[in-house]
Amino acid sequence: MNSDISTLFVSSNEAYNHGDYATAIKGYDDIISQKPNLPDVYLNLGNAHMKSQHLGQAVYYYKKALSLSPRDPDIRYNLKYAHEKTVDKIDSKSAMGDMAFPFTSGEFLIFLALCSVVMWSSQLILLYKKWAWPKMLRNIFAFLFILAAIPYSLTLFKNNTFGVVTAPEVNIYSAIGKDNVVLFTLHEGAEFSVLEKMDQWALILLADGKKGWVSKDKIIE
Amino acid sequence: MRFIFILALLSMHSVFAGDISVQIALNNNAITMDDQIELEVQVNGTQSASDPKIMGSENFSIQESGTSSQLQMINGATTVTKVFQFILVPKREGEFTLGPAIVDVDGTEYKSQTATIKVAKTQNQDRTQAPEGKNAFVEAVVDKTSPFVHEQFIYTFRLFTRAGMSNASLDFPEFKGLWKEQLGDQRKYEKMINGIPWQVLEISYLLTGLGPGKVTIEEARLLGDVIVEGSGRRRGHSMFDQIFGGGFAERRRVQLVAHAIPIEVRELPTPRPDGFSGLVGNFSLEAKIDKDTVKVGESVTMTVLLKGYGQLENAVLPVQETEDFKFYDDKPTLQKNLVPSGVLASKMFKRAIIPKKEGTQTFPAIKLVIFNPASKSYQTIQSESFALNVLPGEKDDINHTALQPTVSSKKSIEILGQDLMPIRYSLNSLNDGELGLSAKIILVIIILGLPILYFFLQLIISRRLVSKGDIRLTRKTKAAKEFLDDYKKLIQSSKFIEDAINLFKDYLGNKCNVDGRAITQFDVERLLVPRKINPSTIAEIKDFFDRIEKSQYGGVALSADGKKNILSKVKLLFEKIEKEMKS
Repeated sequence: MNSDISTLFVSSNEAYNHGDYATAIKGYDDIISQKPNLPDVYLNLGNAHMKSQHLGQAVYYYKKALSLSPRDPDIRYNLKYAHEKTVDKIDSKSAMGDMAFPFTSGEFLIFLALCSVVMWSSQLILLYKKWAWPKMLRNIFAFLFILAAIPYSLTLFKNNTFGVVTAPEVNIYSAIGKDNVVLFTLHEGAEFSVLEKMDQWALILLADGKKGWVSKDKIIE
Repeated sequence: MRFIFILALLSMHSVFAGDISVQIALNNNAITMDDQIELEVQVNGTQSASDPKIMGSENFSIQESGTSSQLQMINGATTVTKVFQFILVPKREGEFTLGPAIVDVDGTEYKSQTATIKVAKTQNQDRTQAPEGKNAFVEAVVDKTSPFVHEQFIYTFRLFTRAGMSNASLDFPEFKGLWKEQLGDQRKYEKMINGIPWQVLEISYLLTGLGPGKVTIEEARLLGDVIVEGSGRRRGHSMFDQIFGGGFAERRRVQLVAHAIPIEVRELPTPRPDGFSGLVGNFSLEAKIDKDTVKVGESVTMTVLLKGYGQLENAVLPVQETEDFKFYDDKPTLQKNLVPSGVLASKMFKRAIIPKKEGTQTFPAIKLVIFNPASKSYQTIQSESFALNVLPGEKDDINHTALQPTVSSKKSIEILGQDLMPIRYSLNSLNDGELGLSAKIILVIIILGLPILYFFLQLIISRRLVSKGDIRLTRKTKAAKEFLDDYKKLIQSSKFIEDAINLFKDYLGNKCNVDGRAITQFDVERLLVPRKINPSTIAEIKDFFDRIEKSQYGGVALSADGKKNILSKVKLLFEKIEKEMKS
C-alpha cells in the first residue's frame, strides 16, 4: 500500500473529525485521483460534502461508492439520507424502475466464469458417459449462466454516465444557450444520465424520460 | 311531470345547501392611500345567498363592481358558486382586518374568514416613479440588501403597464448563491402613481443567503409587445385583459430591464451560544397538551407551534426525555403565508408524551436558541412547562406485567435523531476491491475459450469413436490404401493371377463391405449397380473376372506382357471405381 495515500487518508479523516470538511474533501479528492476504485473513500468524501451542505456532490459520491460496493448498507443508508433532502421527485419511466444490481461487474464476471467451467466440464463428461448427474449439473449451470449474463449485459450496454445537480436550482433548456425555452427546473441533488456533451453544455435525461440541456458548471458528472 | 321537476329542483337545492361555505379573497394586501383593492366574496353551495355584509369595512369606501354565478358538474358532482366583487379604496392608513363577510341563506348566516390589509402613506412608502412618456416599465426590489446567513428576504418583480402587453416572455434571474422559493401565484392589481392608474403584475420570491459574502441578483428582462396608447383599442375592463390583452391594437416590441441588485450576506455573530438551533428569524414558541390527567403508560399529545418570520424547513424540536417521561414525535407540518409584514411561517409538531411514574409530574418547557436579525442577537425562546396528574395504570396491565417480567422489563429502543453513517477509518479501505483489467481479460478468455475447447475436443473424440465403431466406414476408407500397398508387390508374386484377382476382389469387398473373396462375376452387377457405377464399368469388371478366371483355371502361362496388361487393367478398374462410387 502506498504510504503517501495512507498518510493522506489518515489526515483527511482527522480533518473530518475536527469539522474541517474543506481539507477532508481535498484529501479524499487527491486519493481518488490516484486510486479511483475505492468505495470507502467515496463514502467518506460523500459524508464530507454532506456536512458541508453540498447535497449534489454528496449524492454523486455516494452513488459512485455504491457502484463499487453495491451491497454496502452504510452507503445505501447515507444515499437514502441524502435523497430525503432533495427537492425534486423524479419517477422512473422504465418498467424495471431504477433497478440497481447488487453485484459489481467483476463479481458478475467471476460468477459467469465459474458457471462456464462447471457447465462445459459436465458437457465433456457427457461425451464419454451418459450419466444423469452431469446432465443435470450442466442444465442448472447453463440456466444460472443465462440468468447472470442478462443483467451483466445490461450493465455493459447501460449508459453509465450519470450526473447530479450541484447548484440550488438550474434551468433545463430546449437547446444550447440561455436564449432558448426553459423546459423545466431541477434542484440540488437531482440525478440524471448524460447523453451528450457539447462545449459548456450537457444533454441530460431524467429517469422519467424528460430531456434537456443544462450548463455543465451547475452539475457534476 | 311538473311535480317531479319541482321535486328535483328542491332536492338539488337541499344538496347544495348542505355544503355552503363563504370565502373572501383580495388581490393585494399591502397598498398605499392612492391604491385600490379588489375584493371577492365567494359563496359556494348556493345561488340564493343574500348580498354579503362585510365586517371591518368602515376604513374603506366600498363599491360593488359585479356579481357572477357558476354551475359546474364534474364526475356527477354538482357545484354552485356565486361571487360578489367589490372595489375598496382606503380611507386612512394603518393595518386593518377585513371580514368576516356574512351572507344569509334561507335564514341561516354563513361567515367567511378574515384578511389583513396594510395601508401605507403615499409619499413615504411608495417610491415607485413612473418614467415619463412610457406605457410600461418594470422594477425589481428586495426588502433587505444585507441579510444575515439563513435570514429570509423578499425579492419582488413588478411589471407596470397602462395600455396592456402581449406575447410577453420573462427571463428571470437564477439567484446564484441564494435559496429561492416563489411566494404564491403572481398577483395583479391596480396602483395609482402620481394620480395615474397603472395595472401591476407582481411576482415575489422568498430568498435565503446560503453563505456569507457578496452575491448579485442578476437583471430580470421582459420582452413583450406593448399596446400603443391611442391606437384605437378600447381598454379592457378586466385586469387580465388589460395586462395581457389581445385585440387588434397597434403594438410595439419592447425589452424592459429590471436592474441587478447587489446583496451582502452577513455572517452570524460569534461566539455562537451552546445549543444554537440554527434558526434565523423572529420566532415564537407555543405548546399545549390535550389533557392534564393521564394514567401511567397512556399518552398525552403535546402540540407545539413554532411560528414567525424566517426559515423553518430544518427546524426540529430538542430532545426532552427525562426519567419520568418518554416521548414519540410525529411528522411536523409546515405552512407559509404571505402577510403585509413578510412571510409568516409556522411549523406544527406533535409529540406524544408517556409518563412512566404516577403522581403529579411536571413536563419541562421546550427551549430553542435562535438568532433574531432584528435585534442582531441570539435569543432563547421557550414554551410553558406542564403539570400532569398521572394516575396508576390499569390493574389488568399491572397483573399482565407481573406475569411477564421478562417482556415488561425490556425497553424498546427509541430513535432520538438521524445522522449519516460514519466515515471509514480502516486503512483496508485503501485496498482496491475491484478486479483489475488483466483479471477481467482472463475471466473473459475462460468464458469464451471453454466452449471453443469443448467443441475441439468433441471433434477429436467423435472421430475416434466413429473410426472405432463403424467397420463399414473403416473398410471403405482403408480399401484404397490396402489396394495400392498390395498392388506394388503384385508384380513379384509367384501366383500372379490368383493374387491379382484376390487383390481386386478384396478391394471390391472392402468397398462394398462384403467378403471380397466370395465375389464372382455374377455378384458384380448386384453389388455395383446400387452404388451408381457406370454399366460400361460393370461390364468391364465382369469381362475382367471372366477372362482372368479362365486364365487361372485354363493353365495358360502368362508372358511378361500379359502380366503388365493384367496389372494395368486392375489399376484401370480400381481408378474407375474410386471415381464413380458415391457411397
